[in-house]
Amino acid sequence: MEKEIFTSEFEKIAKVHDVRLWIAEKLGRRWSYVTGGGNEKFLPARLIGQIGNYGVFIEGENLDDKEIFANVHEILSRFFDIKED
Amino acid sequence: MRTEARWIDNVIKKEEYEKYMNNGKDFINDDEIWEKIKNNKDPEAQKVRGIIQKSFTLELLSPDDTATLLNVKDPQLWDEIFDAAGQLKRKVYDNRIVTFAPLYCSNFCVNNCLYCGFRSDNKDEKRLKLTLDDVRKETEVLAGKIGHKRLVVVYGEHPVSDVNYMADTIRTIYDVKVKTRKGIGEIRRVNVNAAPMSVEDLRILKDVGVGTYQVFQETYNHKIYSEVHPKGTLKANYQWRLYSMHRALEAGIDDVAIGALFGLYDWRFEVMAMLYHAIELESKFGIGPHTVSFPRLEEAQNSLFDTQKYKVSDEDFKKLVAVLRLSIPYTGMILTAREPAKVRREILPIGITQTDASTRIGIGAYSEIYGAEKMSEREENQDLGKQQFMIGDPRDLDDVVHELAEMGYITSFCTAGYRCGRTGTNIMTLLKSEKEGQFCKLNAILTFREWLDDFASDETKKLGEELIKKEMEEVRSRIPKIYSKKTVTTLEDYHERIKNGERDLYF
Repeated sequence: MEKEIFTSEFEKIAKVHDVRLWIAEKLGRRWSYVTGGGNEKFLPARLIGQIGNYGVFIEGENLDDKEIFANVHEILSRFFDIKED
Repeated sequence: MRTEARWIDNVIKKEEYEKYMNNGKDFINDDEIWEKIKNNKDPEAQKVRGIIQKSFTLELLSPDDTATLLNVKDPQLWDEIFDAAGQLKRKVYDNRIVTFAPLYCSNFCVNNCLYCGFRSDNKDEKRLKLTLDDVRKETEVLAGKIGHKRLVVVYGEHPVSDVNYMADTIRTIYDVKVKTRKGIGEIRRVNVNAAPMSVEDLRILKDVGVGTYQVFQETYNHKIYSEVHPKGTLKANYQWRLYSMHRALEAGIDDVAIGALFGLYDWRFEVMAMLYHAIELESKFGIGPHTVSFPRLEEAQNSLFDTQKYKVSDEDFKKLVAVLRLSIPYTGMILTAREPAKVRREILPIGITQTDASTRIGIGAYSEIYGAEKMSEREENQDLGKQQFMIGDPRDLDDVVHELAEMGYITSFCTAGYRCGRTGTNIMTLLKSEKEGQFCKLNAILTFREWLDDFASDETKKLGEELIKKEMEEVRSRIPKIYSKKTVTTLEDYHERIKNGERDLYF
């Protein structure tokens, strides 16, 4: 259920900022996809922030990394008790 | 021995696969498969052409569709199928071929499979297990002398090579960095070929960051399976093996690979069963097989299996590869160095996405052979006493890359996807929407550039330069339909930076 809500919210943020946006879990060298939204831009993925073991990636020309990450953080904090590092 | 017996007793967790079964039955119904094959005999050409077209939607074919293809007799129709298989591959993956190398870490095994050189009753097999220092040395050769970026690590099923050993070896491999001509050599993706494991053990593998987890069913036919895997051994449990990928996905490993050992039973049955396996994984997890493998049975030391009875001819091998490509259109398909160079040349164009090169499957063989400074010292015979079977194509990676370039393929050393979240449902969507191939093209150029500068012979480098030029032109020609100008300027920038010694830049 949460995943569906995240997907829908990520779609909205991705559309506003014209990026592909997704969240992935870090496992050694691997980043395993969790969920995301927006269309592929065929640009290098940028890790714009981490929340615990989860990373927020974007792909696109938009450089509003801080704002996008803050939006994602806000959505996740609605569902999880996120401890600040 | 007692420790070994105790370990064996604790491996299989029935509750971890029984919950997926339907009234005690698994998803492979032998009778149904044969019925489908029989009921779709003598198909009309129009029906076959319709199925070929259907495969271009990149969704799984139905078992009836696949059974129909398997029943084609007309050579002209087969040519159409081969042609379609090649087109499909290019549609999903473009013209790149990913290369890798197997690294056999241990040949201790508690099983006694009749066809395998590692079986416990084969007393002529020299049992070896790489120490972590050995693993490091092997990796230094693979990453520093040959230039591989991707490995599949292989282990026999035995307490000396349990999941903790696997995790240690994988960590060791990832830690190796070797100075090369212009940059650094390293292994960026470690895939695992190992025995079925519990969810708990799979989570350990997941945490070290494995790439793809592969377990081959060997044969999907229940009767033959029980005949070739003696009762009382771990491997005798058909369902424990069959549901390996369910457990892997449950543990969070979202790139899984299936396969069958062709030659144990009728090849048409195995193709059908692999499709059923893909259907099952998609329906339960929304994730199909990341790759499929179809090794043909080779002669092994002291084998007790009649390799002639279900031997797959070269002609049938080509057919099975093409039907698999059409049946599971989005999947990666691996053709290994088990096959001789001549067969590889013929099969590659009909749907293959990955192949190995410079392959050695003896335990510790890479350091023994490639450790020699001079080429003349590297000639060696394969030692069946230290390996599972005979390989058919021991050519160097440079020779294979050169040949692929002549055939119009770009060798890719890309490992980008799983390092930026293009895994699981994400990669499935990208594959089915033809977008993954667009990433593949960009990353193939960049990783090929790295390899040419760090490892290629002068002749291969010359050919490779021409190929890169052509590929860059193709990328430019896809503006604006697929790529943006920004994509191309980024590609050009990365390409220049790699030429100047930077490494591991990817899309």
